[in-house]
Amino acid sequence: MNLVNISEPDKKKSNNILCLGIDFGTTNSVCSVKIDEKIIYIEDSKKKLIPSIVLFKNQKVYIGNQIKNSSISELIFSVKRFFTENPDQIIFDQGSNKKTAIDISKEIFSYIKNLSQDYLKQNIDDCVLTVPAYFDEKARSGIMRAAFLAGLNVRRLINEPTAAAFAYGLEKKKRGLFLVYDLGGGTFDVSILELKEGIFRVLGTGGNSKLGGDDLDILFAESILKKYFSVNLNEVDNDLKLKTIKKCKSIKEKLLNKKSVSEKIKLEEDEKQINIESQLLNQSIEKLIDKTIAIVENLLNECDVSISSVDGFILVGGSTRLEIVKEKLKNKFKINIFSELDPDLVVSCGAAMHGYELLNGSKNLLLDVTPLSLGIETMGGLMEKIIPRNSPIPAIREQIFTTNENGQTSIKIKILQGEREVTSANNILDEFVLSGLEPKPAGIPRIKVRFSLDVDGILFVSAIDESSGKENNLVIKTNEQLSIQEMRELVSSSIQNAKKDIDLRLLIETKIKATKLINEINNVKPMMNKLCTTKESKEITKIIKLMKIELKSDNKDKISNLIDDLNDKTKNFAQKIIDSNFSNFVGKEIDLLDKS
Amino acid sequence: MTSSKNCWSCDKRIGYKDFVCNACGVLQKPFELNPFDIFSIDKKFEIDAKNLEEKYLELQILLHPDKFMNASQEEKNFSNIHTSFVNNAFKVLRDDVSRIKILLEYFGYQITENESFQDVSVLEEIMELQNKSMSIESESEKNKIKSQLMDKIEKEIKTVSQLFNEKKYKDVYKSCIKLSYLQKINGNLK
Ligand SMILES: [Zn+2]
Repeated sequence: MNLVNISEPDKKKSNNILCLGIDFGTTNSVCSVKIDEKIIYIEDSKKKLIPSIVLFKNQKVYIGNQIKNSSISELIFSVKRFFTENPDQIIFDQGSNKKTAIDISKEIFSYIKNLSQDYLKQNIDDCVLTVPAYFDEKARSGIMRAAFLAGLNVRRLINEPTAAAFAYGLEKKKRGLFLVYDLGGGTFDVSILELKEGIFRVLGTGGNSKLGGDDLDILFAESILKKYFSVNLNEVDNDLKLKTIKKCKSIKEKLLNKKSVSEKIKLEEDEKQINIESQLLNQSIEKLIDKTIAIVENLLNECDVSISSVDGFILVGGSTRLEIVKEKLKNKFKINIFSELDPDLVVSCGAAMHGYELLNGSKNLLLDVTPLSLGIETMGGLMEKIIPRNSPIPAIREQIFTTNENGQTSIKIKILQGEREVTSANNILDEFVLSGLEPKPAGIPRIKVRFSLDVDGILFVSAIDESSGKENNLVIKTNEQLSIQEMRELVSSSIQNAKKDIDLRLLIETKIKATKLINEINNVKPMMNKLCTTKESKEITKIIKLMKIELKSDNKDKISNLIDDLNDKTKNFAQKIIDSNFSNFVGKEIDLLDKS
Repeated sequence: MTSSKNCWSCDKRIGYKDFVCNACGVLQKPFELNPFDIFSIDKKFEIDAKNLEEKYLELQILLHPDKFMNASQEEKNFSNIHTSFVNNAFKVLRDDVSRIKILLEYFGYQITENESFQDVSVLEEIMELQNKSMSIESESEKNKIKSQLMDKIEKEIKTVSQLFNEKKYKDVYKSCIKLSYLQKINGNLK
């Protein structure tokens, strides 16, 4: 495909394991790989920036620079923004073609994987994937799931500002204390890092996962419409609104190296040739830049770092090309500003460097923190923090809980993320029910809840009933979604075992479907035993057993058949569940636990 | 306490506190260790922050999951747990209040969380500071209170140090409570 301007890599020469560095951005994605001491960018139609845009048309999928001359309303863009809301929510709905943010992102990841394979002339599955530092659990695991579904083996998830700092540390030999200011298309991150010989350590992170270049474009468009057309942006219809914002974005880019531009702007019948000065741009976005500066100040304060001890800002993200950003930072903080490495490419570059070192060994270590506090809900709807924000990862914390009613046999646990005291002001990550407790007087059971935040920043929660002495007697009921652990195992084992000619993506999808089904059935096992005949139960158990064996193979069709079988055999049972009252199972004794 | 253990992988006899087997190089199972012992530093209140940080980073280089990317699943799991322990111990030791509590426990002083704090004059002092810090109106006023707080914290830390030397653990605990209030007010001022 697009391998023209770079000499083809010679496979024989490199004995190193290759690992892609993927920066999945709101506006553009970038992918690079380190080969023989050199970073090579995977190009899409000869461009390093791959627009994160998807188009479904005539039963086909088009991505990035493949898309030409399409009407803007057909395009799906800024899909990354949906991850901070709900990555499983359907955002594209066209008859039978329904897609979630994860489905759409999966297409982008597949496209990037294919581009890389075409260029490298070999299979490549390993990657280091970057995410905004301020992304929460849901968003992190959502992005990871999308990459897994594309057949990518995500070896590490790292934070975008951290990746950028890694690149500066290695490429530019920067040493000292730095503030990484990362203003991307949809997110803003700031991290304080200490770069020492061999160790790059994040001391703290702040940000806003809903503030980025897209918002600057909207503000700019608002100003232009108001000033020259006396129209409110929100009052124009959607298609025209998108077109106008896109136009203003291109004007913004032209103003990067000019004081003013003359542009034709059309709003319905009204067409005007207007002279737009950079001052108008600056005025309209100033407030947002001030917001980012306040976040930087808070972080310095929180980490007890005085600005005089910081050696400089490292600028990351396309929006930091704006002169006003540099000016404001300079005026406010009066320290050096570094932007030698291309702010659009530096994150992917750092990820590729890190991936190379992870898989081939290195002297450099990257230490990061968790951006947001994790905890659970306690009595009165308050959040009890278990792992506070800016804790280094990995982190394991345990807390003992007890019941507050006599004979209580199950406990509901709500997992929260955020900084507010009241539950409802925080992000609810998950809710699960621990059942199977031995009935005892209130306050006697000792339930040890363990939060384990791994080095990717992904959370695993487990619980042990200490008083019964048995370790795994508790049933954690959560949704049937596969955990990142399960997915990782599934993907890496499929990659290892699968024959060359197999469609890895389809295989992984089928296996995920099967595992989900098994999880679903396991979750309702106590009910199954109550509602099914012994014969039915036995048949279901038998199919699950076969399925588990087949999951270790790469026989997609056999797994598919078993899924159909299982669906068929549980149809009867599924109806019974709907008929029976769910509360019979959970029990009305469930209550929020209080801390012991 | 045992001073040695068998390596889970090659069964050689190794030191109880060894993270890595010196015979086969395999990472050992996680084990409970006093935070001071994790970093092999003296169990006393005064702490050399720079030395602690150096030891922390040394252990990260030895134990961090990134160093076990190509290792067995067991070692990967162990590395995750070891690193979490080290992160936690580092945090505990850097914080004056939690360091005091660990030392008190080590010296056999029983902390009873519900023990009411009865020193009225101290309570009044704290309440006054608390009220002042809640009704700050100007930056200069804030700085004034901040420096007042810092003086008090510094003084209390000296007292704790002295009391530890005199083995007056009950008084150490009293000072510790005061210190934790002062630091809380200081934290809220940020
Ligand atoms: Zn050994």
